[in-house]
Amino acid sequence: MTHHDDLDHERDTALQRRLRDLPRERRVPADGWTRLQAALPVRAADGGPTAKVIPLRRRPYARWSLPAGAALAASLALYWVLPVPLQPAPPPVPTVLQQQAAVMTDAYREAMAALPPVDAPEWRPALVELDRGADQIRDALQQSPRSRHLLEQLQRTYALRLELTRQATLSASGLPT
Amino acid sequence: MFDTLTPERDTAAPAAYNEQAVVRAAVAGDVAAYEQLYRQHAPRLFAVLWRLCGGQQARAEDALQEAFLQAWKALPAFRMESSLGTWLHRLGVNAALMDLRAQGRHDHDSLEDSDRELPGMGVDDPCAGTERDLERALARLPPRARAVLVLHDIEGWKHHEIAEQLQMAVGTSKAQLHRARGLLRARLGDMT
Repeated sequence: MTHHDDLDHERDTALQRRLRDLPRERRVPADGWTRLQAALPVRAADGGPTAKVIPLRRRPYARWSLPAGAALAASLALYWVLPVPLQPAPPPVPTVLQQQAAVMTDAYREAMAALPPVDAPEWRPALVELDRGADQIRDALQQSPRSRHLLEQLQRTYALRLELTRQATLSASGLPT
Repeated sequence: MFDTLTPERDTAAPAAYNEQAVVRAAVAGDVAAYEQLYRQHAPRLFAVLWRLCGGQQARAEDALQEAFLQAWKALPAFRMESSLGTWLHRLGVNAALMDLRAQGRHDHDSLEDSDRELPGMGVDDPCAGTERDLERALARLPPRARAVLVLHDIEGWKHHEIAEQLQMAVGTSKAQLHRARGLLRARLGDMT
């Protein structure tokens, strides 16, 4: 080992000591827990996170596929998110997530506009419910503009709404769904 | 940006705090119990994430939120054989690194931008050598080198653990550490 190596080693050790002396904790944001609590999905009795929803078998649209039903259950978790007091004032400048949500909403509306009108009354309650859920998620994003969880919820809700609209259209036309 | 550091405090949990019992309650859906876990572990985790994110408060906050959200979902599968703190750290570090990668598509401070050297303080900075300036110099390291240095020299991770988390070779982790230390020393004017 050369003198230069020794010097480097000493410097590394000294630097490492200084680094390890840095504070080990940092004050968390005052609203951190509130924001987190608002995003936590309700846990099912078996310990797994899920939404508290009306059992699918009671719904008139119970012929959905199981994955679609599960996705709806996830999207409806928001109904449990909203009653929690949210943050007071939204920031004036949109965050990256809000911009992504706006782009996604535009694309969703374009896709919906391209689909034929749905004339299937039995599907309407589900579609209305999903629209209301999407509205509420967008409102929640205004209150929690950095919540990636909400953005993902919105994405899933849009995807499910599009899929159900397609299925409803096919159903109304007499084609198998 | 650097003015909210908390002083070192006793991190030992209160005598009545039984982490296993609190975890079990949280697994059963008790949000108040989960808040206890959050209050217990968040300050420690936030310090790590804040440094990994180069002192960018909003990103560190997002990573903290994401980590505790993931932890809530994954808690039923957590086995108390390992430390909850270590497990949370893994989730948090992963969230911070994911965020840095994702943000790389939008701005300059990405994890992939490993060769860029951010503007640092001059070596003749009259304040160099203080804790505040060490944090500042650390924040201005290139993201990948900074991540390796934070995890190795501050958090005490092994190179193989860092390599696995950052998806790099062990040799790369060592090289990044050497580079990070050299850059940091240069920026601090070798006052270490």
